[in-house]
Amino acid sequence: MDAASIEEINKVRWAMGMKPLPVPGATEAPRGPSPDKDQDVASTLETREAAAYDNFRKLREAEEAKKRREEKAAAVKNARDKAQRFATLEGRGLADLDDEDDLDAKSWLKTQKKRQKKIEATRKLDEEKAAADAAAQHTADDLAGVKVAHDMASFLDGDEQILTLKDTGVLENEEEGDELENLSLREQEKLQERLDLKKKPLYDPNDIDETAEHVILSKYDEEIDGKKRKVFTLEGAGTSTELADILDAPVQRRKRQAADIEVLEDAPPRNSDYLDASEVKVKKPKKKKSKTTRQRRADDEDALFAGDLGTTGDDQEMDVDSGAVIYTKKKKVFDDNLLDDEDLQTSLAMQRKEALKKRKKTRPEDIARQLREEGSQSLEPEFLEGDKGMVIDEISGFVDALNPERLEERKAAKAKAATEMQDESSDDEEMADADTKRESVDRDMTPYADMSTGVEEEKLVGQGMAATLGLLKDRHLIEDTNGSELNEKFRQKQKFLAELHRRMTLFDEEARHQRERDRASGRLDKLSIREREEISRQQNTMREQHQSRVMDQLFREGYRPNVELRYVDDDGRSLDAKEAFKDLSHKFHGKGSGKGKTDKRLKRLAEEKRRMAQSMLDASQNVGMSTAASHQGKKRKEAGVRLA
Amino acid sequence: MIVVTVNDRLGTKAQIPAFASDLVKHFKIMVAMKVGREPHEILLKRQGERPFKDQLTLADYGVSNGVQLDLEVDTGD
Repeated sequence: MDAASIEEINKVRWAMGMKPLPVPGATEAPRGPSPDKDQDVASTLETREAAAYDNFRKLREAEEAKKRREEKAAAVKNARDKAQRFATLEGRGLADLDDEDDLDAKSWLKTQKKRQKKIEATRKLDEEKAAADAAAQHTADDLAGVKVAHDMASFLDGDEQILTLKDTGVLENEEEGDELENLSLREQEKLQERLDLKKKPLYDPNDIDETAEHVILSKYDEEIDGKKRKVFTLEGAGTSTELADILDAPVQRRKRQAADIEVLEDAPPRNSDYLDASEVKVKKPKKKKSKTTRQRRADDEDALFAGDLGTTGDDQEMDVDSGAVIYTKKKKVFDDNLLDDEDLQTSLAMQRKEALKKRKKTRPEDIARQLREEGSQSLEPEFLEGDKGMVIDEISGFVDALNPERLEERKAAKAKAATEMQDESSDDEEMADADTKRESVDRDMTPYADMSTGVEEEKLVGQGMAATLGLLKDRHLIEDTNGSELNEKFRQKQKFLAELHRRMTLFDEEARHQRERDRASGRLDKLSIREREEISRQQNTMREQHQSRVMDQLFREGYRPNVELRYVDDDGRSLDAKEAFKDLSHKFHGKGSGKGKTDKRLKRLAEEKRRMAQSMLDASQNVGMSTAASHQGKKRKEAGVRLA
Repeated sequence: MIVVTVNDRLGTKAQIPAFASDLVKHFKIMVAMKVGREPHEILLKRQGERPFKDQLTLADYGVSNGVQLDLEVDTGD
């Protein structure tokens, strides 16, 4: 960038009112004055060198100046540090000798006097202070006129109470003066107040203060006027003016209490049937272990009866109750249902008894009431202790025997048999015989009335076919097929066959007769053999035609085929349609069920077989008779085996 | 004083002395003088950055001695 171009630019800048650029050749000074002067200086090599030298010199100077400045600053800092270091060491050290100790004996003696005087003065001052303190000793008189913010009654306990000045602002109640209070007492009062608030009902009609004048809605007085605080003032002698106040309050309180006691004494002893809510303790019923059950039951019974036996006098009458024995058995049955009631009743009974005992006076009405109560109570069946074995009574037996489905079936069957018997008994001997047998079976089944238990005797195979049939039926080993229908079908079939046979023989007979007649008439003798054959063939066809027509009619009206599809598996069991389908399917596909299904099926079959072989009265399993009894036993958690 | 190189990448390249404290507006006048184009047609920018604004100084854009600025035609928008 040469000076000429710069100057040119400077011209423009000048025109724009901007700061001119420094021209390299020009001297430093001419900033303010016009650059025209600068132009005079020739920009030669010398001038430029000079300028360079100048610049270099200036630079060196500046550097030097800076160096000097820094040195100076370092020196100053050094000096300051040194001064500081020595400053810390100034003062008297331990080893330094005290200036005063340097005093000679004479001067020390002089100062000694002064020192003595000073000690004296301080001692005197102390004494004066102590004397002042002693003079300012407080007595009870000083407290005269000071209020105490508590009820006087609360100080009657005799304990020492420490009262402190109440915490208020300095200027708050200047005219009232200071108040004393005991913090712990204040706390107690507050607590009491809160408890009262919690306890007190909004309106208590018994809480009428007769001595005080009546004020309407006095309970709100506190809220409106603020709390009335019990305050008393200490007098000079330390006694209070408001002794009356102390004595009043407790008297009132005592009076009310006495009244309460009277009321209590007058009130009849509580013999409500309902426990007070506070007394009730609900005990969560635990799961009883079956092992301990029986023992506990026995305990319960014992307790109950011990209580009964323990009472004496008029209570003795209750135990003498003939009804108890009668109801024993029934009680056993409904034991489970009435367990809750039992508890309730016993507790009620105990309560009533206690109430009666408390009353003592035996007025005639009371006795009557007592008797009535006893009567109602004796309706409740009671226990007899002792029998813990399994009891099979009429009801469980009856329930065992009860099988509604079977009863209905039997009824229907009986009705049918009866109707059939009437019109068929004359038909053939065998059927009649069978029917009579069945009738006898029915007669065996029917009479519930004269049987004590309602259970029929089990039939024996040795008694005959009918008995066997009954036995099997009872045990559901054979289905109760509708025998009469089958019988009817069978008879019709037989009838049809007989008819058929009869017709056939009839035809044969007729044909034979005709042939005889023809031969006898000699009509055929004239004819040749061929002709004879021709004629006989003709006759035969005619006969056959007739025969077939007749047979056709016979079949049409008389033939009722009984189609029965019966499937039998490899073991010889008859299968129902579903099983048969499965079996056939398996056979067709050459592939049976899997292991699980097969096992299941085999198990089922074995079960069925076992059931069929089981005895009706086998108590070890829950079959037939023993179900109800065993159920009862389980419910009552009794162990027991039925032997017969 | 700084010397700024202004280059439109089409063959025009100029070196312009200025103070860093000069406004871009004034600097553009200098450029105009050197390049022969109207000042309002001049748009200066650093390479790859946004154009300079007239009201700011060169120092504001960090232009120091020997910096090259791109010169473009300012179409006014």
